[in-house]
Amino acid sequence: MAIADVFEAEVSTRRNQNITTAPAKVWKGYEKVAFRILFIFFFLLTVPVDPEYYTQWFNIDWTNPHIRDLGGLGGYGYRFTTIKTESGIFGLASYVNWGIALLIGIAGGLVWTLIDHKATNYRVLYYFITVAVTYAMITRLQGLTFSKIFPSQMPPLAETQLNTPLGDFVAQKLYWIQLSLVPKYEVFLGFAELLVMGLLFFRGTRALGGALAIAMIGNIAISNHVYDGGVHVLASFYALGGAFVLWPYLRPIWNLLVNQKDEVLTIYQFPFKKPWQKAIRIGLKGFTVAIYFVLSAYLHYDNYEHDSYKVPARSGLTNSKGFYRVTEFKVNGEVIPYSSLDSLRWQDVTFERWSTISYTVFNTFNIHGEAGRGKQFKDVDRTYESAGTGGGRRHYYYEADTVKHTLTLFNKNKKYVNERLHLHYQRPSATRFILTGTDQYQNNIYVVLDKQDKKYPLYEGRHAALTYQP
Amino acid sequence: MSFFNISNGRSSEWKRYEKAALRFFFIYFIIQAVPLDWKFYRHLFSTDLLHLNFYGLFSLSKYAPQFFGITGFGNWLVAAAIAAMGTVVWQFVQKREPDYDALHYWLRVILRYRLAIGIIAYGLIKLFPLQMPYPSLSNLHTNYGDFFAWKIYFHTIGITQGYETFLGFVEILAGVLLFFRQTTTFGTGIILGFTGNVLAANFAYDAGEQVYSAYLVVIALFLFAYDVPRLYNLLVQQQYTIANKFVPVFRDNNLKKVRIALRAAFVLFVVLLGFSTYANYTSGPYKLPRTPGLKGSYGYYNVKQFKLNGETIPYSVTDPNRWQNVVFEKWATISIKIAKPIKPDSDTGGGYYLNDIDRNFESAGVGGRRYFAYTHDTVAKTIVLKNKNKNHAEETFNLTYTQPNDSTIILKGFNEKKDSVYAELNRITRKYMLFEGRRKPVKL
Repeated sequence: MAIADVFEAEVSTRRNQNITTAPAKVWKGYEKVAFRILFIFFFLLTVPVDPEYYTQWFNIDWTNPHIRDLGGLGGYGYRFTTIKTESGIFGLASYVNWGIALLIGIAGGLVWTLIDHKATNYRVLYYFITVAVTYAMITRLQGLTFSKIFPSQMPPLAETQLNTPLGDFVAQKLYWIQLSLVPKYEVFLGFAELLVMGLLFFRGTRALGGALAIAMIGNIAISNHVYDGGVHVLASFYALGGAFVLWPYLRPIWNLLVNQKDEVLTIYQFPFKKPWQKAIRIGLKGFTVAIYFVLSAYLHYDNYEHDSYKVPARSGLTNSKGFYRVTEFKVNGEVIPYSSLDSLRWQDVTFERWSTISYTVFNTFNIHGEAGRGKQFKDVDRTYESAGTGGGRRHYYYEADTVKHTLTLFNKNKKYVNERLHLHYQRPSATRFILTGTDQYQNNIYVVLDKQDKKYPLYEGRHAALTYQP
Repeated sequence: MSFFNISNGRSSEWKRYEKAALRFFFIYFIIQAVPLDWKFYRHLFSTDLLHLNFYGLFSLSKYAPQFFGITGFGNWLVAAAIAAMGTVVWQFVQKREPDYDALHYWLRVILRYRLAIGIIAYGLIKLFPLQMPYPSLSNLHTNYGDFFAWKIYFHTIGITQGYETFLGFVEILAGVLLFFRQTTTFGTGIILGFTGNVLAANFAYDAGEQVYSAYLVVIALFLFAYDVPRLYNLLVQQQYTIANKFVPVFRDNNLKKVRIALRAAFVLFVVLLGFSTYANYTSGPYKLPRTPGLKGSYGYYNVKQFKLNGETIPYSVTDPNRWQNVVFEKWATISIKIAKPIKPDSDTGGGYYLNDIDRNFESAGVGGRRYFAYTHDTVAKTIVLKNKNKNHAEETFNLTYTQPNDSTIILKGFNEKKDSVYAELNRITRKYMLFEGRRKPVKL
């Protein structure tokens, strides 16, 4: 029997049952109390009450919008406070704003219970708070989605990262850059997030969207906790929101599949019957599509093509990208032979496609605890390549004068923000650099660098008959 | 469609093409899921029940048929071809039509249990984090670009053993949900999300289990599809939805007994697998060598002095003989950085081996360092190094060792070419960003 036949035979009388015209159910006492608390809680978490949120819409140069503008437009829950302790950044205390919102919810919910004796149910409010949660999820997810679809959230690995030992990365960095080497997989994950956004956008698929959000982004939240990723609160919000959205569907699904009982959803959907209601609904849906799907996709595409936000924008010296051996090294005229234990002598050097240079010395340095995130304007602040690494490797942003052949190096580590190196460069051959000038300790240095033709196993793959060259 | 059992409790009326499709799926999945391959039984009976090792059971759980040495997805094609022929032949030889509802039910039963075993076995080696061991000290001293992609993927999970345990728990939960007919859809839903992602990652990182993870995903898809029309009708169409009312009836007493026996056997297998996996985790994880290393040697060493045939070679990153630095693992492995080309071991280090030298998880999929398994004699103070990489198996060092103080090791002896070698190693105590984390200010 085909599906339609069964319905004809079994449920012709019931199939057209319309939930919205059916008489409203009377909610039980505890249901009403629970709802009042959760309503206030989720309202605080999802609806921006901060006037700044609304003013930013008018401060954006709409003739020339930028992805930096989108993050704020995604909206955010009210931030009562932030706790600057370790737990406040990585642990339980980082959820302080959820806690405060819940306390306000409980207090507000109880007061509401005391003064409201008439309401038999809150199905209209329930409908709209569900909409608020769903749309908050969509608007806050778009940046992550499209920066994966146009892979710039985890940009390609830098030469310096390829030449840094595994143990010299912080766990958070390893978690992040594991996607940098497989851009196609990053795009795949981006489309999975787009699927979540799409499913949440429609009533019929909302439950599925909620379930996927719990599974996928809930997993990201847990990962952020275990790798100290630092964006766990943001990620947990999708899991929490997903659970809230999915909740009313759970009992019907369980009944249908496990108890094998016929089922129909009795979830109230606001009818939007009047023309002005319809207009607002279509307007808001259209607006969401325009800003958070279309515009966001375009801006992320544009950013990916022209100025990937985590990678410095200024390009490096022509044909300089690569890994270099330090063939000769002099300090104040004196040759220092290669040694794995010398604290001044550079051991190896990398040039990036963009204007970053790194070198290793055998020494210890203070490490800034940043994650290299955010959408920084200045190249020197774009530290995705260097944040979260140690082991004597130093990273410098540089400005080159290609006429005078000079380089000015600026330390990218925020603990050494005033460090400068003023160097003159010569390129006697395509693979050789000769650098002379003063280093950060006011020594005169003379450095000869020779580019190595490196083939990385990471990219060659295990099926290429690769011979690893040291 | 009768496949989805939406007949509201009556026996379904199977259309001709539905019957043909079911016969095809039945034959195809029986070939894929039921161990008909004689190699399985050779393996089963060679398993020593008295000294039950977990890997024997684990590899039973990974059964998939292999035809005449064909590898990978090719076997699927063979199974599909046989099923296609079988479907036609069945049509002609049958004397009486089978009960297609029953046939469908039994196919689902078989696939549920097949999938449950597969997913639980992999869950267990994550629950007790064996699948992705914590990266070895040598691996911590290897440049990121010098690993094959699969190894990066394994290490990234390996550094958070608690998370690996959590992932294992999710897989086991999904497997347990498959034990029960009514919760199958939840279990397969989890598997589609979880193993679906594993499948994508296997392709992305070339992790070597593409075919097997695809195999599990396809079975999960077949099982999940059963409830899709119902869920679609309930959630998307938001209409009155008729439940699947199917309840298997076992009239035959013998059948009842067989069913109970099979269920018991299944539970026993899972319990045995669980215990033996735990035992392997606590007594000597199978991907890591078992023999403890030289006492007090664990660490990272600079090679302060190095002589070849009596001649001192200064520090060099280009000399093909000069040792640059050495790592002593907790177990009997050392790795040496030498500027000499390496043909990396392309294996994924997932096998189970009795001998330490074959336990190649630490040395597979990586360039940069040369890995040696060693045997040492604490009385004669000798240490013999053998390269773990099959491509460099000839590389051997016959050495004597002295430990003048607790941070120095002096090695003297000969390599396989009878060149004399002398190396003075000084331990370097250093901090690792990976251990320091980014919560507190760090200097390193």
